[in-house]
Amino acid sequence: MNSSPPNAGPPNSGPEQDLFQQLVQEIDAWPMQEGIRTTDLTLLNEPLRGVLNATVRESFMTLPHFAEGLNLTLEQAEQIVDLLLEHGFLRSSETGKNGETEYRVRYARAGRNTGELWQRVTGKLDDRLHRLELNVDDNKS
Amino acid sequence: MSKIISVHSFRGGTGKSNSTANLATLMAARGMRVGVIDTDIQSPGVHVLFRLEPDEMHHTLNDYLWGNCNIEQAAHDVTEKVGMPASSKGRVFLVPSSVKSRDIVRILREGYDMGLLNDGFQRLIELMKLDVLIIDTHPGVGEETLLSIAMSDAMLLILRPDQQDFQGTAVTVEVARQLDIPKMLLMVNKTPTSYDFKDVQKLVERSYDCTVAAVLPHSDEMMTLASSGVFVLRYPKHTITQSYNHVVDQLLS
Repeated sequence: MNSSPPNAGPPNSGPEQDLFQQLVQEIDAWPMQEGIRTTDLTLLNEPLRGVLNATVRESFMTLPHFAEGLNLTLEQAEQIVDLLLEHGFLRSSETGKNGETEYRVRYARAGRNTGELWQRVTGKLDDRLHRLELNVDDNKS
Repeated sequence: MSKIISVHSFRGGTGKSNSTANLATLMAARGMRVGVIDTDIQSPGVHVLFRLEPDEMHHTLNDYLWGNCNIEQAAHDVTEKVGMPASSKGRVFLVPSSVKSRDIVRILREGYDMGLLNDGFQRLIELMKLDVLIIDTHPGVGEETLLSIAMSDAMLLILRPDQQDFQGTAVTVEVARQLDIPKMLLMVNKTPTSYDFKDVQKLVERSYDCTVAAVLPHSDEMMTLASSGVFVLRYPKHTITQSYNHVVDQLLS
């Protein structure tokens, strides 16, 4: 997807442009990540939070939906969606019924704790449980 | 239009799984096709109420999250097990979480792709032609629980008349509002019968600015049943059953 549409760019002034810039700044403040957590959603400001919440609930959104939800032009919405893709908030998925691209929230992998200590503890626990299961099987046979 | 409803509480022991089973059964008794997903992967339990034994679970939510099966393969038709007639138009399908200790540890250790939860819910609704999907969540405010809430059209938040529950529920209500949940209802459970229920309802509604769908009493019949069955089928004329019916009305309205 083009990040700078050639035909019609965003207006240079006015509330739409202000909102557009505000959204760009807000998204740029986030690190590049491989998916977001639900808690991230609660930290966003309106109207971004509302649109992403709706994307979670509706499963996907198209570009016109984003434009409507963010109160932006299609071209501006496209740039925002590109930024969201770049920062790992969204993934674009298979083409929709009307030939439109669908955008879905890209979720971070759920995991309690990935620290070394946690891995060691659960690893040991897993080994012990495995050995217990083998003993049970041996006793059965 | 299908509905996703999450049943949640900030703390454990509020009667969340019990309420899930009762609400699902009442909806099925109204002729609806109801799915129940046990997303309490760390401490699953709702299968007990539906009398699904661990060795009868051919696939579980864990298997789906690990890519070992499709979500519909983990759905068990528990309509007759729960005590409803085989000819019943309404059905209850349960997607249980594994009760095997190794499976629980593995989920804790490896985590899973949360996107699969969302995809799985939608696929289950579509393939099983569900009218309602009820998500029995893990208590507290965790990532998976918040995702379940974020995906829901309505949430029933259960609390007991207890100071710890009151404070925790305030946190949950606030977070749920940040997630723009379209409908949020509270249900006060295990209320001592010496309390004035109308006062409890008013106090809770005023505290959270949220509708209280029902105030349920502490019940000896419920305690004696001890999760060995679904209360509303065992006591169809009980006031608790009437209250659950009232909650169903509000969740579906």
